[in-house]
Amino acid sequence: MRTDDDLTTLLRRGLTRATADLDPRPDLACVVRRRHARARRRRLTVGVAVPAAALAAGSGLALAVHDAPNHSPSRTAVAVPPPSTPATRASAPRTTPVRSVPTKSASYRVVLSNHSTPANCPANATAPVSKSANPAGVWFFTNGQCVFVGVGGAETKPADAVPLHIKGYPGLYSTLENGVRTIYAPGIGHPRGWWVLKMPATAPQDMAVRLIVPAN
Amino acid sequence: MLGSDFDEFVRDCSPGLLRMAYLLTGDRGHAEDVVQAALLRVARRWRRIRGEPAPYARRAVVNLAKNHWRDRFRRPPESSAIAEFGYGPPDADVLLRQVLLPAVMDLPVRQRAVLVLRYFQDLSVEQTAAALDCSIGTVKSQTHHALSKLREALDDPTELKENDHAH
Repeated sequence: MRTDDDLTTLLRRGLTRATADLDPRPDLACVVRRRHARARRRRLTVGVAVPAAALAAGSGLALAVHDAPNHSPSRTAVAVPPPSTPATRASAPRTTPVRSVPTKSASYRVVLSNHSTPANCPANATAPVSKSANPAGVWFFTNGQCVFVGVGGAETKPADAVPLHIKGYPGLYSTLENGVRTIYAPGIGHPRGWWVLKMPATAPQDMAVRLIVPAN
Repeated sequence: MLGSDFDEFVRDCSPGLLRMAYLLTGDRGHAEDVVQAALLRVARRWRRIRGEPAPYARRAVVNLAKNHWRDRFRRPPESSAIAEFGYGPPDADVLLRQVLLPAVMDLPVRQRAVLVLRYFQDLSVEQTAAALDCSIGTVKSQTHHALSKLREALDDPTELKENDHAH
């Protein structure tokens, strides 16, 4: 009958011998760093996309409202009506309406995902990231300043609009004029064909396009 | 961001973690996977645990190895852990190679983890309890049961062999 001491001594020796030739790969730290960075990027992407997609249930501009002491009404998704379309005359001949929107590979809804409370947004801002009815748009707090992104619609995009390449947002166009950047996003939910986001040229575009998520 | 202290931690601790994972999973490839996954968990929480990351890493290895052991029947069969232990150095003690280590691998994973943490990693009962997320009393009782089974196996190796063939 072996004592516990004998047994544990034997066990120590056996476990040590069984693992004596095991060594981790020399670049293990680099491998872990790389995998960590990849996982982090993936988490960030999902973190942006999921809340935005969750809010995309309705059409129009939906605002995610946080607890803001001066915000009323709270937790209400507000649809901002797009600019009205000109009324068609009843006597006009019935022709197939010509939509200037070509067949698009991408279409978007306008939403707003969660953002931190802005420190110095304008006095009429009533929510952490506030909508503004007139002009229609949204205030973002980013890089220490408030940036207004106007939201509207258009039937066509200008001919001089150039494709805008932002990862994960295909089919966007933009123009830059007098310090104002205008982004055109195809939107089947929009009666006029294109969502139009207007912002200062200095505002980061990748921040502004968080307002939109693919609708399909 | 991960600083150079993370690299130092990996360099210092990964051999011990790999050996522990190997003893818990019985397979070198799975042990390497477990260690990488555990170090990823450490990296994610590095800012919070950088003062004392080793216990967290040990616990992650134990948990991941438990998951591996639990899911082993869902995977296609592979070379058995006991057979792997057969590839020892030529002068290895026969008793260790053919009886003790297979008996360790035959223990339930919790008892095996207790033995590995206490007698291979040289952790105290308290540290082992923390690593396994159980009480000190559980560690003591699991140690007792595990040592009893090993003692039986060593005192009557034929019984173990018959059990092996029965598997």
